[in-house]
Amino acid sequence: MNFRNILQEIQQADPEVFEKLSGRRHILKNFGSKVALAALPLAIGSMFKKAYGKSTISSVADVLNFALELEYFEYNYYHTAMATGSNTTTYLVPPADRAGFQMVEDHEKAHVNFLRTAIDAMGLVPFTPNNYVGNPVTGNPFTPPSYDFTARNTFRVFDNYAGFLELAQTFEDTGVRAYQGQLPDLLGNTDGVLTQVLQISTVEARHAAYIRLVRRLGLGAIDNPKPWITNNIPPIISLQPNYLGEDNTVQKGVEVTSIAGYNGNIPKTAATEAFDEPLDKATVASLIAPFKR
Amino acid sequence: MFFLILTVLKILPPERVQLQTETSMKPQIEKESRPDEGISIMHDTSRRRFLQLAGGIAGAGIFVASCRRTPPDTVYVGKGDIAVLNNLYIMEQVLAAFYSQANITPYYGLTASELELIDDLRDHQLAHKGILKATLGTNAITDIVTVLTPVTFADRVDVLNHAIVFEDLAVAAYNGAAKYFTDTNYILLTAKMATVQARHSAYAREILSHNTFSDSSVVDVNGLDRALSPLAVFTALKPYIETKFDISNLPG
Repeated sequence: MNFRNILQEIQQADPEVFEKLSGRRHILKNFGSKVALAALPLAIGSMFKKAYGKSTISSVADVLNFALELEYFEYNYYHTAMATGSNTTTYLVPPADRAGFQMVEDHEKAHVNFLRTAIDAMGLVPFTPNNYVGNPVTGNPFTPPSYDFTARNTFRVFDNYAGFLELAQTFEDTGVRAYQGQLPDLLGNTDGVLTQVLQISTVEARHAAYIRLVRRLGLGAIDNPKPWITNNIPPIISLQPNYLGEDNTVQKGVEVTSIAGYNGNIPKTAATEAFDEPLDKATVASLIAPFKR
Repeated sequence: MFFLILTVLKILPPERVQLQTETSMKPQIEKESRPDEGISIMHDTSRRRFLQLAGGIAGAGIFVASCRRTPPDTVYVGKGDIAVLNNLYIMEQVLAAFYSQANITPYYGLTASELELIDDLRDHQLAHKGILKATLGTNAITDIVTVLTPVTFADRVDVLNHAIVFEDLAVAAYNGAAKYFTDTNYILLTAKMATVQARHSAYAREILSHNTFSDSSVVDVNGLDRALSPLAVFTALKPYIETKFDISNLPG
């Protein structure tokens, strides 16, 4: 997160930002070299107050805060799962897969801390979940009262590994789609935050592929999932809403099944698998709402 | 007998996949020294442009570009968004050629699951390649000549290790290309492909070694995947390409 990134971010929301700030152009030029680092947040704050009200900057942070909400959500899901059971009784996550899910949990925690720090550096207030009991200062994002991952006893998760994996797959696939749905609001910031959000989204996709493979190879799940999303097939039918739109086969106005493949054209299943599809913020919010307290 | 099969497979595959042969004959003259190329940038003196270019790197290439001469056996990838897209198109062609060969001469010890998925890997790359070509339209470079001799297609471990290298590179290429696009709508397309490459990488990693889908070789302490500049991606691909390219205006 640097000053130029923030400027570009704001330019997305307001293309006239540079004109509005033009009287202070000499200040802009000197940023990063001559202004003492410690004074930077204060200086930025006062400069923007002269050109804007509060709304533009807060809409910029909305994107990162929404991402932060999703990362809190995912971290809490995996941390709870990894802490369920013991080696004297039985782990929820079996020994063979614990190293993998520990890695997933660690990444989600890193994402929480990365996003929280970034938002904080913009001088804005990072998102915290409802009923938050974690400690942002020590970097602990674990907050059990904030979530009910059974969705009021709709799902069996922490006493059933197969059930845990079905939701895990859905959360990761939805996370990938949610990040892609946020990209339009970050296109003005092509030199910083945008790249980092992309770098997070591909890690979520790695997680999704891993969980799908554990279900495919380890559990022999009945839907026999591939590491990629085929058509709009959910792990269980009640999670269908998370996959609506994933069967799209038109990219940039081109019907992918009209493209030459190896024998004939690209098959429809491959056309849907080869591209993940965005989900807008309102849809994602409605999908995770049943799991929040 | 087993050894014999391996040896035959190692020798037999057409190791250079020549998809089309007219590669080097593409006329380059019409792409050279268009008189308006530099001028539009030079005359764009709006404050916004000035602020974006502040730092002084952008101006340096303009005069070099106007003097560029592309040798006749060399394919010019273009400049700006076209160069970035063509570079991704080159990459997808290498991946498509790799998986096509991996389908023709599958490695020894393919499981039923792997047999089912190896078509997908090829088809996804062909879809990516096709959509990039359609997006580039007349600016798309011709089909390239790939060099796959570094790959021992009969050997499972070698094929999967190459798949991992290619897929991790593709993830980093799409992530890294985003900030170089002027038309940001391209980013919405390439991001959809980036996450699928990440799924491929995780798959190849997992069937080679469980619980390695996103280990520290590709994901840093902040939980971020890699991002590489177009030039860095081209350099990584070079051992797998015979076609000569003029990348003088490729960013990075």
